[in-house]
Formats: sequence, C-alpha cells, structure tokens
Amino acid sequence: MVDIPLSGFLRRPAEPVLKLAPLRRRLGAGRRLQRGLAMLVSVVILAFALFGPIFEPFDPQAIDLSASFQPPSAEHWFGTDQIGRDVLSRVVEATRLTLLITGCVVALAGGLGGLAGIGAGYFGGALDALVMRLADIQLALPAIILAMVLAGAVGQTLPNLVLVLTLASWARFARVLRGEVLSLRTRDFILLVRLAGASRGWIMLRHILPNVVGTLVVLATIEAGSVIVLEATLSFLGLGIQPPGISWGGLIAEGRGFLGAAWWVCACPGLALMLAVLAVNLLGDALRDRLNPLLPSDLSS
Amino acid sequence: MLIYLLKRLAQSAITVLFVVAIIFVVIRLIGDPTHLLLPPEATEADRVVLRHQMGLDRPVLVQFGAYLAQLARGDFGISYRFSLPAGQVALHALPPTLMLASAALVLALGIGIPLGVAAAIWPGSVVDQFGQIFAVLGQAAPPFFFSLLFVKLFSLHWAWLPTGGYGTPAHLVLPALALGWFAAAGVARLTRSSMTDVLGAEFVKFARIKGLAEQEVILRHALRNALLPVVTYVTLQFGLLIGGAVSVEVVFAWPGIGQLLYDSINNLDYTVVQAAVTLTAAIFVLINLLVDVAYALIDPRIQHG
Repeated sequence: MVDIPLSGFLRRPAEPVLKLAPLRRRLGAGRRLQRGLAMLVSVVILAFALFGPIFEPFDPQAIDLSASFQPPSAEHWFGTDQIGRDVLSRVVEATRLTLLITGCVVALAGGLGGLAGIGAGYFGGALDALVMRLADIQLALPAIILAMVLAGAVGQTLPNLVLVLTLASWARFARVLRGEVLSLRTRDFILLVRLAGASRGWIMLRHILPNVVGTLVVLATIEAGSVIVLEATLSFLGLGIQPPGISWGGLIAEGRGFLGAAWWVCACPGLALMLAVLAVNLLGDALRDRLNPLLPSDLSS
Repeated sequence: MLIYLLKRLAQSAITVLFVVAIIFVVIRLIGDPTHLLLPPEATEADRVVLRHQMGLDRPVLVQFGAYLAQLARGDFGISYRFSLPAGQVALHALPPTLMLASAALVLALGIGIPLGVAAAIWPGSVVDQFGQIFAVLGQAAPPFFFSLLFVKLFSLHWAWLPTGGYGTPAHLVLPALALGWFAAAGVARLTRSSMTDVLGAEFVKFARIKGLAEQEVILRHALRNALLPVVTYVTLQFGLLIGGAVSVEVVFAWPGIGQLLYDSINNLDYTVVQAAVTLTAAIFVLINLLVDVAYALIDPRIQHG
C-alpha cells in the first residue's frame, strides 16, 4: 500500500537521471563533429593566408569592366564586383592581412597583458593598483569606440592598426592572469620555492608562468575571435585597412552599396568572416575544455 | 557598506577622469587644429593668433587643467560642424542609442531565455540543437553583417521594413534584431547551463517529490533561481551593446552616439568626439557601479573590502 504513491513520486525525477548517460554521449559525438569542422576551417584559412595565390583563380586586383557584377557561376564561384574583380580571389586574399593582424595583436596583447597581469598578481601593491586602473580604463569603453578614436587619431597604417587593436584588447589577459596568479602565489609549492631562496624573477618564470600557460593559450584563442571581428568592424567603418589593401570588413563595406543588385559582393566576404570567427570560437571552447575547464565559458563580462 | 560604496564611487570617478585624460592626449596627438579651422591660404601669423586665442600655446598641463575646469561646468567646447555646444550634440544622440540598446536587450531576453529553458528541459532535442546553432551563429557574426543581411532580405527583397532611418517602431525592428542576436546568443547559452545546474539541485527534486506540477516546478522554483547569473550577464551586456550599436547605427542611419562618433571622426569634429566618448565612458562606468552595488546589497557574501 505504501509502495504505490512512493513509486509514483519517484518516477518523475528518475527519468532524466536514466536518460543522462546516452544523451551525453550523443552530444559528445555532435561536439566532436563540430570541433573537427572547426579544425578543418582553421586549417583552410591558414592555408589561404600562407599560400593565398595558389587558391586564387584570378588576380584579386585585376579589373575587367566587361565582366562587372556577374552572379556566382562556374567560372566566378563568388561572382564579380562592380569593376569585374573576382570576389572569391579577393576573399581568399583578405585572409592574409586578417591573419597577420590578428596574430600580431594576439601575440602583443597576450604578451603585454599577460606580463602586466602576472606582475600585478605576484607583486601586488602599487603595480597591481596601476595595472588594474589601466585595465579599468580599457574596459570602461567599448573596444570598438576606443579603437575608432585611436585609429582616427593616429592614421590607418598597418603598424598603427596593430597598435590600436592591441591597446583595445590587452586588459582581458591582464585581468584573468592576475586572478590566476593571485591564487597560485599562496599555494604550498610556491611558498616552498620561496623558502628555498629562489628569486622572484625565477619563481615567476619557472613556477608561475608554466602554470598559467594553458590559460594564456585559451585566452589567446578566444581573444583572436574578438580581434577578427574588431578589425573587420574597423575596416568596415573605413578606419581599418585602407584600399588597395584587402580585408573582409573592407570587402563588405564595398558591397554594401550594391546590396540590392549584387548581394554576393557583400555576402561572400561576410560568410567567410563568420566562418572564420565560428571556427576560432569553437577551437577556443575545445582548448578550454582541454587545458583549463574552470575558466568561465563567457569572458566578455 | 558605506565605505565600500564610497570606495567604488571614487574608483569610478578616477576611471572616468583617466578616460578624459587619455582622450585629451589622443586628440592633441592628431596635430594642429588650426589647419582645419583656417582656410589653406591663412598665413603663419594668423595661425599663431588663433593658437593663442585657443590657448594652444600654453603648457599641456595648464591646457589640461583648463579643460577639466571647462568639463566641470559641463562645457565640452563648440562643435564646429553644428555650431552648437558639443556636450549638447552628444546628449541629443544618447536617447536613440539607449532606445536601440534597450530594444536589443528586450529581444535578447525574449528570445534567449525561452530558448535556453527549453534546451535545458529537453537536452539533445531539436529545440536544443536549434538553440545551439542560433547561439554559435550569434556569437560569431558581427552585428554589421547581420544588419546588411537583414536589409537585403527584409527591406530590399521582401520590402517589409524600411532600410534605415528613425522615428517609427518599424524603423527599430531590424537594428534591434541585428544587435540583439549577439546578446540573445549569450543569454540562451547562459540560461541553458544555469537551468541545467538548477534542475539537478535538491530543492527541485524536492519540489517534484512534493507533487508539484512540472510546469510549476520549472517556472516557480527552477527558473527563478536560474535567472540570477543571467541578470548579471545582461546588465554587463548593456555596455557591450552600446559598442555593438556603432556599426549597426551606421548601417541603418540611426541617429545615435555611434553614428555621431563615426561622422565626427570622419569630419574631424573633435570636440564632439571628446564629448561622445566621455559620455559613453561615464554611462559604462555607471552601469558597472550600479551592478556592483546592487550585488553587494543583494548578496551579503560579497566582501566590502
């Protein structure tokens, strides 16, 4: 008699528990597929950037006025633009500058921000206060607004662009690494090395750094996605890469005027941009799961 | 608590002050504004006179002090493009941006929360998979590209909505959607993971054992607890939306801060750039301050150190 209501109560909560295991596995397969595709796209982009001309069916700057605004076809897969340039070739060519800039910015921002964060976390005191206030300033302005104002001020050469994007993206590295170091420095093994008489520089280089490298790599991958978007937005607004330099943002801006008649001029670079960011984001997720699962999945806040 | 409040207030004020200082330096980097203000045939003597009138021949620190004194009176200088006080010009552009960001936020919540909840209740289902694709796409695509895509589809192809402009609710739909997608993606992801955690909690099991209807368990017990991290996320997201609004405003000719900033940078109208950036930074810092303080009030575990 007592059995009947009890089993009735228990049946409902029991269901999801029983289902959980096979569901996890199914999601796992989907996720593996996602990550495989992300890897593939990343490799393709890297190949485009390194060996661009091999994949470009036409010269990306070659003008052919008799072939303007051709829709996608067997000859021009992505169609042609207003002066007959092959959109596919231009989209492929754009990966070069994008990857060059993103690589430089992530290396610089990761290096500077990482160094500032490790120093701030380890030494504390005035250095910590200074670094965190500077980070506050960067985080007090949306990155795009900071980048727009800086780019407008210093002019849009390639080194300037790298500088501007670095200034707009170092703070996240500093913040996260500072937090990691703060918790690391009180751990027993660090205390023991200090007791053994190791210098501060030695401790930071040999004992702190190896423990935050994983986080740094994950952050760099996640940040790479934001830098690509930021650069594309700047170039779209005409404050980034200047013609004749080719970038996805610039190509989208060029196509904007012909949205009604020739959507492909705008849509193809846009889709390439989206695919690239997608791949980098998924790669970042995968690296996080592998290297530092405790890192929050959304670092934008 | 009062000390914590004062400390955070002081920190915020210092941050805004730093922003003002940096913008001041950046604007001075650009070069001699007399080249813009005077016609090209002006002589060097004319420039010297104008520089003196503008106080540009004084030491930089003195200039900065004078600038701060000016700011303290709410005076950002005169916009040469509009011949109006720059602060006033920037303030005029604020309501449209706030309206756009709020609309995007409402859309983000309206789409993101139901999607996240449904995905958490039925993991692996069609809804969940759709939600994941929606979220991944939203976080990958820059708002300006969505904007153009929407213009192509809904304005040029089907002619349902205007391609740009400001004034009627119809003008708001596409920009808000383009801007809101990104935030909606984050909200959906966060709601899903937060809801999944909560659904596994003891108190939810207890509510079920108590015999409450499933819908009651989810809406009254689980969702209310799962929404706390979502609320934090969303308040912080509001600042990011203002940043994302820049390119969306440019595409849709939306008369907000972003559009103003874009035009002012392109027209070298630096008083307005200064005013707009300072205003944005102040709002951004204010939002963060309010979130922190609200949290300190709600959650006694936070240290007021």
